[in-house]
Order: sequence, then structure tokens, then C-alpha cells
Amino acid sequence: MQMKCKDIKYRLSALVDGRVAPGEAAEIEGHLRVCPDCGAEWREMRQVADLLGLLPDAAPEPFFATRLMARLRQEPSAGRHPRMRKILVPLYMVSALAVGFFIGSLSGSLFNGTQAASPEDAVAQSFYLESFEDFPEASMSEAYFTLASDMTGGEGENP
Amino acid sequence: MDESGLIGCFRNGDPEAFREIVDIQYPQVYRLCYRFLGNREDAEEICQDVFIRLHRTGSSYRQEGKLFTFLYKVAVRLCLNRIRDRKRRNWTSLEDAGPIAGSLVSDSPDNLLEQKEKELAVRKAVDQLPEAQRTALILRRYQELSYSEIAEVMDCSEASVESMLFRARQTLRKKLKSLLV
Repeated sequence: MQMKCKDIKYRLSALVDGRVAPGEAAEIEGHLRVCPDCGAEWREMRQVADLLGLLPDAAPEPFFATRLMARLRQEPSAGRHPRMRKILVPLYMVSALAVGFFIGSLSGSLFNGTQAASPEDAVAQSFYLESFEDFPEASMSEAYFTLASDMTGGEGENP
Repeated sequence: MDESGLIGCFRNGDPEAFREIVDIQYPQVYRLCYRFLGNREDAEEICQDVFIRLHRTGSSYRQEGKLFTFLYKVAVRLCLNRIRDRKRRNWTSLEDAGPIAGSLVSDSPDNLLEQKEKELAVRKAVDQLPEAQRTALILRRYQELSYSEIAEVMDCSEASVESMLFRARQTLRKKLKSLLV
């Protein structure tokens, strides 16, 4: 069965790479001689291959292994897996913060001396207040407290 | 010592074997990196990263097949990451001021300029290819890998390699039309 132009054109890339069996190559070359369209595409394909040869090659610098070994010695972390580092570093930070909070709260309760009678008192103590009712005069806090006391029927000391 | 012997010694922690592997393999890995990145400094850095990855694997290195396919796989991945990173940062390369491939001292300045312009146009066209097509083309055209080796590096079939190379060349043919006679 004869190959169509579409099939021929698809095989031109493989022909550039020498990846076409001799029988098929002969058939393609025969077609290229009589088909101007495929022939033109083949010429362009070869020119593209030549153009790709324009890109310069770069000879590697000597003593690469020496530089690599030096880097491995200088950066002990270079020998570890970066993905693990991405997980471990935040984990260490979170752990350090948690330990810090724990020690802080422990020492706070140790040095505070007095135990709060209720959770509300504990919150008030944490803000260094005798109670929530000590507000500066004419402050927003005082106004809010008065309003809240009126709504709940409580007794606000401040007018 | 052959490759499998060297790998065996490397897996047993022999630093000399690692160094010998580096000495044998780095020129091709460096060239591959340079083809992707077009810049000597980046090529050197990524090439070092490739061998650091190999060093890390140490005794757990279990790659079947040739060592270079492992190294090329890592190199391709790292190069593409670097290129993506450059795009994110709008990085523009100062082209290496090296000699034009195939140029002669006797070439006139006009010829050299024309050659340089062609080279830049070709580099731009290659850089604009989709990643997989560019990878297949570089591995085939510059590293001269067979289709089966490319398939191994890229984890795909030989038919896919053929298709990628066909599409890459078609795209280049269209993009470089003005340079074709």
C-alpha cells in the first residue's frame, strides 16, 4: 500500500534521525522525488536540523569533581534531602513555640503565687485587673460595660 | 572497573568510586544542563546538584538500567525547575559571549553578526517549545540518545518520543521559516 503525503510527512522526522527501515526509506525517497510539497517539507526539515547545529556547545570546566567535593564538605545539608528539610524546619519551629508556651505558662503559674478562684478571675488576672469593672472614666470600655449591664439587668458601679 | 562495579563500590560507601563516577559522567551531564539553560554558571550549579542527589542516594541507589539515565532524569527535572523559576522571576539571560559554533577567524563581521542573529533566533525557538518536546529534541539532537534511551529518561514510550520529535521539528520549521531558503 502506498503511503499518503500525511504519512510521509510524519515519517520525515524519523528519517532525519535515520530511524526508518531501508525499504520504507526507499519508498519515502521515491515519493519525495515526485511530490513537490513533501519534497519542500523535507528540504526545510533538513535545514532546521542544520540550524540546530548553530547552537554552541559548552565544554565543561576542568576540576568539576574537586569543586563538587568541596561543596559536599562545606554544605553538610547538601547531603540531606531538601523535601525532608521542608517538613522538618517548620516542625522544629512549631515544636519550639509549643515548648516555649508550655514553659511560659508553667513559670507564670509558679511565680504568680495566687490561684484564681474562677475562670473569669483567671482571665481578669491575666490582664492585671482586679475585675472587669475597673475602667477609666468616660472610656469606650466603660460605656460598653454600662450598656451590657443595663441589658442583662446587672448592676454597673459606674454611672 | 566497569559501571556496575563502580556503582557497587559507591553503594558500599567508597568515596573514590563516587569520584570516579563523577569524573566519567559529568561532561555529558554538564552539556545537557548547558543545552537547557544556555548559561555556564547555571549549568555548573545544576550539574553539581545532580551529583549531590546521586551522593544522597548512597547505599539506597537501586536504579535499574544505566546510570546515565538516572543522572539525565534528575538533570532534566532540575533544569526544567530552574527554567520555570526564571520565568516566574522574569529572568533574562545575558547570552554567553562565546564564539559562534562553526565560525572561522576569517569570517567577516557581517557574517558573524548574521550567524549570531540566527543562533539567537534558533535558541529562542527551541526555548519556546513545550517542555516535553524540548527535552526530547535536546536528548536526541545534542546528546545523541536513541529513541529507547530517550523513552527511558522521559518515562514514556518510543512512539511518544517519535511523536514529540515530529511536533518539535514541525514547530521549529514554522517558527524559523524566515531563516529557511
